[in-house]
Amino acid sequence: MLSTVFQALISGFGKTLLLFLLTLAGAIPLALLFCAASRSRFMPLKWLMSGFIWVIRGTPLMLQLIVIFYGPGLLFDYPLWGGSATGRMSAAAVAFIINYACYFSEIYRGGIESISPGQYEAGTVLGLTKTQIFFKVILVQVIKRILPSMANEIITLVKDTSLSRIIAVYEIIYEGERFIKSKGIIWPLFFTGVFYLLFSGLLTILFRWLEKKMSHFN
Amino acid sequence: MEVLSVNNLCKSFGQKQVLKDVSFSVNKGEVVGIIGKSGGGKTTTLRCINLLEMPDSGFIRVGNSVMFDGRPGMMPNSQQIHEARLKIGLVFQNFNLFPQYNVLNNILLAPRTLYPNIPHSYFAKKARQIIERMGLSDRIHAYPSQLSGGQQQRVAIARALILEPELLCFDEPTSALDPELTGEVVKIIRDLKDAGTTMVIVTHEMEFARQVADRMIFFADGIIEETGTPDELFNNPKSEKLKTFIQS
Repeated sequence: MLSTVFQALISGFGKTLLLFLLTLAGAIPLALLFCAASRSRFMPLKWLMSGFIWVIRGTPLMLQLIVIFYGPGLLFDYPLWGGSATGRMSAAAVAFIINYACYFSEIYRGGIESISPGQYEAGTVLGLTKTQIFFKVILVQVIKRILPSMANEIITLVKDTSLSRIIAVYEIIYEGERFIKSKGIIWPLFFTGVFYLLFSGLLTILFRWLEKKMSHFN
Repeated sequence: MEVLSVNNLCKSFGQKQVLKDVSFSVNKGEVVGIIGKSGGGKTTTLRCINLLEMPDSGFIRVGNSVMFDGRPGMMPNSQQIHEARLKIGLVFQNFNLFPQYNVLNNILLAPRTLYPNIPHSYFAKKARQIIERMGLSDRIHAYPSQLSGGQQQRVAIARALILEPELLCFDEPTSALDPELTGEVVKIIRDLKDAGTTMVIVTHEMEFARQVADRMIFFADGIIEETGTPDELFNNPKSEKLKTFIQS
């Protein structure tokens, strides 16, 4: 019994971890693009981006998952994702990436805007281009400043992945809950909590370590 | 030989005209002190010379490179501006060191980025020489947050010097320092003067200006009100505004 439960939970955790990693891999760079757009001096783009971020941050991720998964088939008669496990995982990943990119981009924006204009000016008078200033002077300072907020969001993401069950991604809570229906036992569900705790504990240690690595400057 | 010439410089922020037809020049080896009340236009002038503020009109030349030409169609392209800019160094009131780099790397960042084909060892050696000249050899691996204000300002000077500018500008270099730390920065600026460095120094510290400047420019309400040697300006001011300024 124990090994059946454990196998099921491991399989579920695999899905959870995959969705988590896909989301980070997609949202961290996409957010840079979103951030650039929301800071653009081309006003229509800026408004469009701000409006988009408002919609995504202002509606539940659960709703976004449902719309992204069912929308293409029901609205355009084009079932983009199919019904396979891969298709559902892809739809979930897309929804999570878009959602988290919006949150991340606002964190980036806050970080970038908190850097003193003097840093840009110092780079400018030394003859550096805007791109060189961004990558050699600004970026590391921004990363240091946003690290605590990013850690917060990323730990929230660990737990948010459980929402993907609404489009039948068999993540860890789904797997745990299944034993309530099939075997009438609840302890596997409690075990899912242990997985979450261990994983978020690991992330906390990782972020502490990163913060420490960057503690040599203010 | 003129290292800097500024002609008919005008600059407004919104409705407020901050610079009204400012013209002056700086010769090689000369140290020019710019004084005046805050809001008089002295810092804006310095920022315009470095194109941190874009002038509305006028003409700025550094060495033989045009930095700004306000006549229609005459504005230098970005490559020309880049070349002109490298001939000027600017030291800020608040130092603006890069916090994530140590002293050595603050100084090396620009040359290594600008000249990737020149061996690293060349600039490293040069940086160490400049650091020694600034009296910072024992702080070479320290980060800006570990330095005093005076030390940070000396690093900022070193960072500007490594690019061998023809003209070194200072924007209130001692204003952010505790009084007991201004001495070490003033000493470095004096040493630079003795070594023949061409400098423009914006300051409101009269005694400092008097000590280092060959020539002084007094700004009031966006125009050059009076100019002359420190002796002329301090002992024999002609304009009423300068008289009031000196007494205050």
